[in-house]
Amino acid sequence: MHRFVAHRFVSSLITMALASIVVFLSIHLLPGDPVVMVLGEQAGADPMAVARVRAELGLDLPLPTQFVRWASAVLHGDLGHSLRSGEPVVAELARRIPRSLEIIFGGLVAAVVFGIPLGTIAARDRGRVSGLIASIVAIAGFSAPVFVSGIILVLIFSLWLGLLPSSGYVALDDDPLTHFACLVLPCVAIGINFMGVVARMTRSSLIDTLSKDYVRMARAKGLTRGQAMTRHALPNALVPVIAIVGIRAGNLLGGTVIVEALFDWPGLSSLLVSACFARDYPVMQGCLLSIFAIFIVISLLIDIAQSIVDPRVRTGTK
Amino acid sequence: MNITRRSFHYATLASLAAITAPQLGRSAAAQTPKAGGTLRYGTVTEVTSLDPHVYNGSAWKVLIEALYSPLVGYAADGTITPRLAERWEQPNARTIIFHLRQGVKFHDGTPLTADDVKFSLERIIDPKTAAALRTNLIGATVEVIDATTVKVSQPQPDATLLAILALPEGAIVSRKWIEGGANAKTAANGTGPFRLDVYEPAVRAVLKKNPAYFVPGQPRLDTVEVRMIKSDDARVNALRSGALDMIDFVPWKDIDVLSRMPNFKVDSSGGAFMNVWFNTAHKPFDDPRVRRAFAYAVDRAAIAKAAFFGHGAPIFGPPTPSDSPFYVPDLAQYFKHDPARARSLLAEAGLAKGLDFELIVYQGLGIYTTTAQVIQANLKEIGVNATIKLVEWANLMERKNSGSYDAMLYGVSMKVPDPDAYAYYFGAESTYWAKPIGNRDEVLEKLLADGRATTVTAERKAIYRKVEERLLETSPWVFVNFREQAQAYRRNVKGYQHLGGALNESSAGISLPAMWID
Repeated sequence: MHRFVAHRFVSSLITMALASIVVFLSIHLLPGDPVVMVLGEQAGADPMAVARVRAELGLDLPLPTQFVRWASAVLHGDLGHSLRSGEPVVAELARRIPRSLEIIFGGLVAAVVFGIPLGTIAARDRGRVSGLIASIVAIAGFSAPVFVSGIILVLIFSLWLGLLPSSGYVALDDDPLTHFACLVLPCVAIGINFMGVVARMTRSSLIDTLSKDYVRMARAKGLTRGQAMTRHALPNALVPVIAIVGIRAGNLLGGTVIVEALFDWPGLSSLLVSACFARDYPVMQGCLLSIFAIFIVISLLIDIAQSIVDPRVRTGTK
Repeated sequence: MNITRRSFHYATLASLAAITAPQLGRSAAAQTPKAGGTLRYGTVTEVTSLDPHVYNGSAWKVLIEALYSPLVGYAADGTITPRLAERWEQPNARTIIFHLRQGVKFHDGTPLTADDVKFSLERIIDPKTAAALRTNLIGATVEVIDATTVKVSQPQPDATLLAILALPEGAIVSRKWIEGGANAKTAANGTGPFRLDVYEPAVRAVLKKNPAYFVPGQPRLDTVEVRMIKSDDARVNALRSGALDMIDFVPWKDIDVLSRMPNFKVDSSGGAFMNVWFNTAHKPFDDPRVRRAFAYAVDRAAIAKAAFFGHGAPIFGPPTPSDSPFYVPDLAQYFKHDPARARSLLAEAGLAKGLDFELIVYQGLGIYTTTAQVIQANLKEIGVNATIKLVEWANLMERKNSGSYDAMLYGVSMKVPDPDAYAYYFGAESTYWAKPIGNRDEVLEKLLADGRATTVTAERKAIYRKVEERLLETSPWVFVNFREQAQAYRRNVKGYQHLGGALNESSAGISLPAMWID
């Protein structure tokens, strides 16, 4: 067990190192000059000013030198300063990351809470109207793009019913109630899509399990259909669902790009987008690195969790 | 088109009436202002730096005007009013002597001195700051005469000096505070009507009333919360659902929708204007006949309708609003949509068979892409094939500054309510447009220098008329249309005055101290 964890940890570190090289290179290969963006429309066209700021920022050095400087600073926990606000990137990330994680976590909860019952109904009532409806809801959920379901949610719950704020962010310690009220729509918007996946996965896995011998055995033993389902079929059917949730949780991070813009939620993705347009290199690098790190940590945790639930993962026998 | 022109004029008339005849019993003037309350303002601009000398978008102007004060400022009618300077003299066209108000304190309690004025103006001139007003003030000297008197001199006569110093970008900062190592990008210490309470770059700013503000009775609001919401739909929805009291940059498609709703008021007027820029160093755009052909080919009325939903008055002459003292009525219809004329100009230039070129267009706003598509169709009629290339902002900047384009669609606004603003765009030494492509028109250079050298308005009017004639004749840009900029607010928001022309961006900043919530 310890060997497995150590092994996964080392490979995560290697992935992270490779990712940082890709992050650094891809950012520097983009067209558009950060110096011009710093100086603005007027001064940005003055070659002297541009050269001076470029030297100040160290952007005139050869790319490998820049990378080594950046990487060694990163290893010391220094991600540099934003070119626009002059603030340390670490401070900005520390503010933004928890907000994005809130959305992802909320979306995940919404997906599981709605998705598993929906999938269970679809499997149990296969061939009946209720099963059909559950399947349709699930398919509609994962077919609708986030920006469509998001706008529909705003229209219904905010503009028509006036129940929830259409967008915005209020800090938790300023006003907890409004904080969570603002969180509901973005989480549901991002969760609906994922809910469809969870429901479909639950349904197919459950149908598969229900035809297994041990379930028939349980029924023969005298359990009702419902008892056989909840005590024997469902726990086993959920193993692949958990795996899917884990793998796709990282993907939710991608969905936050749209959701944060749509609901004006100042998280990591909206910071990345605005930094990209402004070519704020240190912030872009910091954001991308954090996203990689979050992704890698999530998959590491999922691997470890799965190896606890299912020892076959650890030993490599399948 | 008629409707937009007319409503545009009405807006101007209304604001003039508001200023000149408040006694006529305007509904807002009839009410007594209330003190206190919070204004929740949503803006499209993501303000990432609060440095009062480095331009950072429209909302930055509003924030800087609220937090800091320049020596002089603008009143809503465009006249220059005292701010930190209670009076001033202009002994000649090169010099202004400012007499400072007594007893003004920065938000941190330090008293304002003449030395702070010197420090601030020198900070603007210092190339390290990359200040917005630097090019206007290069070579200027600032002398402290005594604790409350400062003399500002330009090397050459400069009729625009006072107008420049009245912009919010001419903010006076505290020497002690800046030299003490404060980060002026994330903190603020001014003398303005509000002080900075909370600021998160690109997200929000909360301003609180400055009780020691030097104008008695102002500001009326206790708190101003500025939320930066880039998404147009999110901003409009936040206003509609009651989460905000006021928004800027109302999307053109929503101007009519919001105006029809009973709870909201929408104020709109021409501010920025759209243009086709030519790289006059590239063939065949070095030939004025080709550029004039384009100016005749573009159907401005169609663009106003298609791209701006009727809220973008066409510009057939120079881009001077009709309420400006420098407006020349007989130049206003200089170009019209005339494809036949355009074709014959192309034939004269030896391009009877037409030409192919690439039009660089910003991808981030629908008005740009729609305008470009109409222009593309118009040019097709005269045998010109335009390939539209959509680029993002950083790429657009890079092309503009290196001159790597044939033609580019670009929206600009006049920075100063003075016709010398033309020098900012067309002056050969200005890096904004002319310098990167090496455009130098000696006739224009002479006229622009003459215009700065005199402070006599009648003489200046004659000079700038010639400037505009020259610009239309040579057409380095095709002026397309004014894009109306609109602000929408709840009916209980009072005291807001929407200004047109160069002061449009400053409307909210100028109004803020007198605004209140009913």
